[in-house]
Amino acid sequence: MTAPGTGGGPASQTGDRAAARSPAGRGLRPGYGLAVAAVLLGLLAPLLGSDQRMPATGVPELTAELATGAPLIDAVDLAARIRAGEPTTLVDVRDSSAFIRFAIPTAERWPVGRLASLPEGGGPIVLYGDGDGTAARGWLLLRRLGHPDVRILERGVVGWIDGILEPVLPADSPEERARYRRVADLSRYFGGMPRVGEPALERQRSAESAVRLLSRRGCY
Amino acid sequence: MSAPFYELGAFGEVGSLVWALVIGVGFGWFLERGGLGNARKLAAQFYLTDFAVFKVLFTAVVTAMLGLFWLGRFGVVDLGLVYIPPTFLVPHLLGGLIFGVGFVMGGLCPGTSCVAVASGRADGLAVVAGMLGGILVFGEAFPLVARLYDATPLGTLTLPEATGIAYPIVVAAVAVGAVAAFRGAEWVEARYR
Repeated sequence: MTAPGTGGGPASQTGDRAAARSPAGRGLRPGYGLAVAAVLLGLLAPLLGSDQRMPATGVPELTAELATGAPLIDAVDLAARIRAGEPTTLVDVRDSSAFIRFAIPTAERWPVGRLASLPEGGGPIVLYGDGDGTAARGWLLLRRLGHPDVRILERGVVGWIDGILEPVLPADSPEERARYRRVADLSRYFGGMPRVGEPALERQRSAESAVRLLSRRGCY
Repeated sequence: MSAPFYELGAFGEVGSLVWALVIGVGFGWFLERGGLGNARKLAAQFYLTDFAVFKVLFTAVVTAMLGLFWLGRFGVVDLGLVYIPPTFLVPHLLGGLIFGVGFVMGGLCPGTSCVAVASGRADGLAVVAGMLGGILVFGEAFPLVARLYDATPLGTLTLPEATGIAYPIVVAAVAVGAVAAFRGAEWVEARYR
């Protein structure tokens, strides 16, 4: 029998019986053994625990850093580092078939799920993908793991192809000619085909189509 | 380190959704077995006559705190990869107030309303409908509240960082404080019941 005004029906009676059976229904008197265990584990923490803290750089700070473009590196700067032999860990986060089909020289393939095992190699870690956000996810993971210098190749594989393998640059002014010579030298070093001209507006194309066009040239 | 599992690539996107479903069902089951599918019991928390909500949830907090601390201590969990929601002070206070008013009026929170529906309660259905309606209204009105939504960001804030007290000492204080809080809750219950 339910008390007046409680609107008892089958569902509420079942719930009320469940509530009455439950520890909460009996006022949830703490299980003394569990309470003692919790207090002991808590008191042992300062004695046996390490002073492990959450990292000072949280996700919002890292997201803001990513939004300002701070961790990006462009293809020309990357190519200069590789050619000069400066310590750089270049990481390809794409799948194995894409990596086999085309990869930037000196790159190692590390899926995001295994990046936690990436050994320290000295110098910055540069990630690149095919523009689907995987490199950004890898960057976030590595920064949260405490790697201080992690960068993302701007525009990924497409950025490398457009910037180094098929660069189109103006050469009208002395400054432009100097830049063209620098980029062209790097481009030829990596087997590219630099051209003088007005660069088209940044092409919106996928990494797959960019690599396919490279293949048609017979170079890859 | 083998955890957090998702961050360390133990399973992918689909696997994470499967585990979310498993954990969600388990969480709902434990809530129902704890009696938290009963609106009268939940509302009684606000009238200080039944501290079941406080006891169940604080027990969960202490269990998770001790579990994470010791698993981190023994190298099983990388605490640096555990996601901590950022704090936005004013929006959180305002949202908490709205949430609390709705909670005491309906006697159910979003999670326990689903538990109540699963238990066959019509009041749970009403709260779920209200929750979904509220989500729709919030989504449609978001441009009007977008500035408030992002106001007063404090970043990720933990008790050790906020107080400057070492993490292990905070763990000890919370564990001991929980037992004291439970005794205090029972005293209040006896006084107001």
